[in-house]
Formats: sequence, C-alpha cells, structure tokens
Amino acid sequence: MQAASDANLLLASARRDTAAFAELVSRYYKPVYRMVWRMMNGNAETEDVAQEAFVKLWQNPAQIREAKALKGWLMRVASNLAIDRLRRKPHADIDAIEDVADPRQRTGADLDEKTATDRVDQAIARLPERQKLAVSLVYFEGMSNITAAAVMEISVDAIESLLTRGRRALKESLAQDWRGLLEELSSKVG
Amino acid sequence: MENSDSNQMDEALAKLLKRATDPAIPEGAEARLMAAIQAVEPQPSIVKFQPRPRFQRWAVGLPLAASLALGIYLGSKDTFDTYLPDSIMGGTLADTSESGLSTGLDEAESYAEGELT
Repeated sequence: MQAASDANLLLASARRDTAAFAELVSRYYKPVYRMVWRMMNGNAETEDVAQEAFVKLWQNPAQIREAKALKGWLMRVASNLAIDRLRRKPHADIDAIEDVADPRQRTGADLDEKTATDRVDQAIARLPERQKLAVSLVYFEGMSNITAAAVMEISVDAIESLLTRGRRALKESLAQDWRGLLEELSSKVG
Repeated sequence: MENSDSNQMDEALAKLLKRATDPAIPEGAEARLMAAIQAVEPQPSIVKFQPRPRFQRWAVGLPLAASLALGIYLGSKDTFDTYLPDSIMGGTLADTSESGLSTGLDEAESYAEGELT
C-alpha cells in the first residue's frame, strides 16, 4: 500500500482526522524533538516545546500552503518556540551543561567515549542560539544550506556566515581536546 | 595551503559532531501529544474582515481640507475680499466703492431687474 502524501494527510487533518495527524506526527516528531533538544541543550521542557509546535499545526493545518514545506514549517515554529522559552528563562540551558563532567579534568588522548560526547555537546551548547540552530539544521538534520536558510527565513549568505562563525567557535571550544577527540573517534572507527 | 588546512579542520569537525548525543524520544511522547490535541479547539482559517474605524478617515481628511482652504485663500490674495461679508470686510468694501472700482454687485442687481441688455 502506498503511503499517503503529506498533502493528503494535511487535508485530512484539516477535517479533524486524528489518524492522519498521528501519521504526520510519526513522520516529523523525531527531527523536531531532536532540533528542540539541541536548541534547549537537553532541557526537560524539550517535549513541551515540540508538542506545542504540533499543536499549532493541529489548530490550523490549512495554513501550510505547500505540503513539501511542512517539515521546514515545523522546524521554524519549534525553533522560535524554543528560543522564546530560553529567553523567558535565560538560565534554562545551564541544566544540561552542569550534568556533564568538567572538561578540564581530563585532557589529551585519554578521553573515553562518554567524555568525548559530553565535550562535543558542551561545545554546541555554548554556541549563540542562531549559530546553534544553523549547525543543528545542517549537521544534525542533514539539510542543505538553501533549505536551512529557508527554515530560518534568512539568505543563503547569512546562513553560511552563521555556519562559518559556528564552526570557528566550535573549533576554539574544542581546541584543547581536539587531538584526543580525533584519536577517540579514530579508535572507535578502527 | 591555508584553505586546505581549513577544509581538513572542517571535515574533522564534521566527524567530531557525529560524536554528539543523539537524543532519544521520551517513551510515550507521541501518545501524549495525540492526547493533548484532543483538548485543542481548531482555529478558524477564515479571518473576519474588520473595517477600519471611520474616524481615521476624518483624522486624515480634516487637515488636508484645512490646508487646501488656506492654500486657496493665500493664493488668491485680495481677490476674495470683495466676496466676504461686510461684517468682516466692511471698510475694504467702502474703500473700493469710493475708489470707483467695480465690484460687480451693482451690475448684478441691474441685470436682475432687466435694465441691462
């Protein structure tokens, strides 16, 4: 059986068909949740924010004029909600950072897998929100620069600038552990 | 050379980013979402038309009308003085009649009485 298209599912959702909406949720909940989690640095409110984005869709599915824009629309709404939430609670992102180990405690090549993951997470968490969103969309959601720019409603030049600054900040943040992280990575691959 | 180093660094960074946490969806999150939407009322997709209050048009129209009237008055200089009531321009009318300038009023009266051809 051929899977229903997003367009048909949106039309059915507009007629208050919960089964159709559940199918849309199953298709897009994970990327939306993942992006919000990244934006909020693993904050406990991630699920609330992701849920709110889908509730906005359910309230008026007809507002999506082109079905192919649905994922981008969800990402945009969810990221805006996440940023609003973070600005209302400016210290909300500290929770996730405090949970991980102090990166100064271990350096060089003795990084284990968990520590390496924590340090990369911390470096991403320290990025300014716009750079973090650009990095999340391109590196973690696999979007092209053009698609990510459309999600963020900015020009391609602007997103390339955000990515350049984001990469520079990440390299600086990870500089101390750079060699150790790469060795840990290559040992994992090997 | 510098570009090559930069590209290698970018590639290494892309690999390192793969080490970042891939968050797991909390168990039952989608079910909770579906339960939440049951309580949500749909929003109407048709936006109700609300005309602008009329006073806004007057607010724009009044200064424009006043400006137009003032412009006509200033542009006409003394032309309209003769048409203004005596209570305002009595002295001026008296002066002009004495100086023999024709205001057109006498001729209009005569014309109305059929004395002019």
